[in-house]
Amino acid sequence: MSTLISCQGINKFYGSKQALRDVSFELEQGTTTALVGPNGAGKTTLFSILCNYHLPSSGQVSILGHKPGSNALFGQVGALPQDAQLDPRFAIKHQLELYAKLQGYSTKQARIECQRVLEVVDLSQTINERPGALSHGMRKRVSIAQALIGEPKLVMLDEPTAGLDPANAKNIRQLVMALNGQVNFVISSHNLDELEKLCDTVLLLEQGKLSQQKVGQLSTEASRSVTLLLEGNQDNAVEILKQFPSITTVAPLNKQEFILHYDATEHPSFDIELLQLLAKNNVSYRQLTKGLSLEQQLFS
Amino acid sequence: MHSIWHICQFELTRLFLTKRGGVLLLAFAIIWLFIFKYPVLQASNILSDSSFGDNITAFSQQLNLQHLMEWNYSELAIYWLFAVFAFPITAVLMSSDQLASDANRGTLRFILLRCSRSQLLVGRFLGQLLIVISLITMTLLAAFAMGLYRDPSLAMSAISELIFVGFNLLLIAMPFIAVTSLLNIVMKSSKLSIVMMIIVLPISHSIISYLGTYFSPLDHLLLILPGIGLIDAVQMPQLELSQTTVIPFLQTIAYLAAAQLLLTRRAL
Repeated sequence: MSTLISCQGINKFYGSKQALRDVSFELEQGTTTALVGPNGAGKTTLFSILCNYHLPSSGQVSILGHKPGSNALFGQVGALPQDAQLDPRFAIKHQLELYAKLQGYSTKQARIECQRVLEVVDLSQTINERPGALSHGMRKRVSIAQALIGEPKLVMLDEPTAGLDPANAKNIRQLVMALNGQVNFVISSHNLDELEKLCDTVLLLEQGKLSQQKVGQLSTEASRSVTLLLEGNQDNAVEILKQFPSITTVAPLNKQEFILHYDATEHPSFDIELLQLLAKNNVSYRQLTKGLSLEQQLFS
Repeated sequence: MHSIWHICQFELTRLFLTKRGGVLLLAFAIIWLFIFKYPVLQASNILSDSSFGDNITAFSQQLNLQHLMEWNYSELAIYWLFAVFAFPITAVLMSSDQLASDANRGTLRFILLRCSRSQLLVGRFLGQLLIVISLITMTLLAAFAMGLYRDPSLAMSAISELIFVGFNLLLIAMPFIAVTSLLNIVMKSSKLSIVMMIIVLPISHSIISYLGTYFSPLDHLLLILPGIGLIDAVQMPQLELSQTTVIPFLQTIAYLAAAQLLLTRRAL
């Protein structure tokens, strides 16, 4: 597997303020990566350095073996920069066709490619509209369409669903899931549930430092636990769970939600045994999740 | 090169296919309509009258403009006098938004995924240059047509004057477009770029001239200011490769180099 992104010792200063502190990581091709962290943690700064919008104060960045902004990456890297907008004076068609031509498409090919990417985001009917005529959600989807022009190997999405209604957010999630495997995504978002569904690698930035890198959805710890969400308050449920010999500990998150730890080697079919236990004791549940949620993994 | 060409082409559509471009073109057309209808038409009638020409000889000699009296088409001579001052202003106004609004809106971020900053800078500069060339060509041909209508027999001999005016107007406009490219990288908006141009050029000229009275070598600093050779250009009798033609060319290269240096380091 070859390296998708390599960052070594990245520092970024804005005047006296340090936005990134010695950030180093490496991502392999074939991964979908989440970039998470609180506001002001440096996510957008890191994103901007990867896209060559900002230069690092020190450190080395390499994408697909090339420096960000080098000619070899044109058409290989697509991005949805946060808050970037298309020119309101031109029809979407004009702008996307220009982008396609810059990537080496002929005029005719650019027209076809423009139509194709708009179809991918289900907005082919807006091809002759100006961005101002579209809703916020539609504009965001058009911006995602521009990131998909050509066959980019890497697409970076900065807050792709921020400010979108649930239906549009779902459309974008489904789009990413559909393209998973063909395209490597790096997604920056505050929505951990969303990232959990989409990503298999997580980069956590806190105060400019990359404090944690989780690779794979199931760490060793996570593989020995399940998260159980019950239907309403069921006072006797905790006692029933504690009496179940397969469970080593019951950690309540709140009145309805529990993390159950177990020995995976002795109970490989733990989840089936648990469901049978719940059914036998008339304990109704809403959701059973294998492992810890991303939120639990990162912030507990 | 193909990226530069596509960006350059897009700049042309920005003028000819957008509302803002249309308004600018309309304003340009109205101003030039008045220039053609009154000064050019009237003054060329006056200039071509030999008895009146004798009377103003002394005046034109004082300004060192007597060579204009000898032009085949006086329409072109009067057009040249107006255009030499009008096109620097036109160039600044037309090219005032090369990068600023796209940078503020984030549109540049989409473009820079597909081309380098240098390609963007050069492409947009050339696009603006093409726009100014097309405006020069349109107005210049209109002035030539007016002369042609008055006296078709002089058409062939007036061709050299046509080339002289067109070439010099282009040279004069070039550094102004390049300075606007530079200001667009430093300033946050096109309006600020125009305001800076209006403020900085005369102030710089005054300061350098004032300091030059105490230490004359400082006068050479005036060479960095666009438009420094405008008067010389008007007084130039014929097409020649002189300081007047070389300086705008060198200024353009210098301003574009400075813009490139700043753009490659600027966060976008």
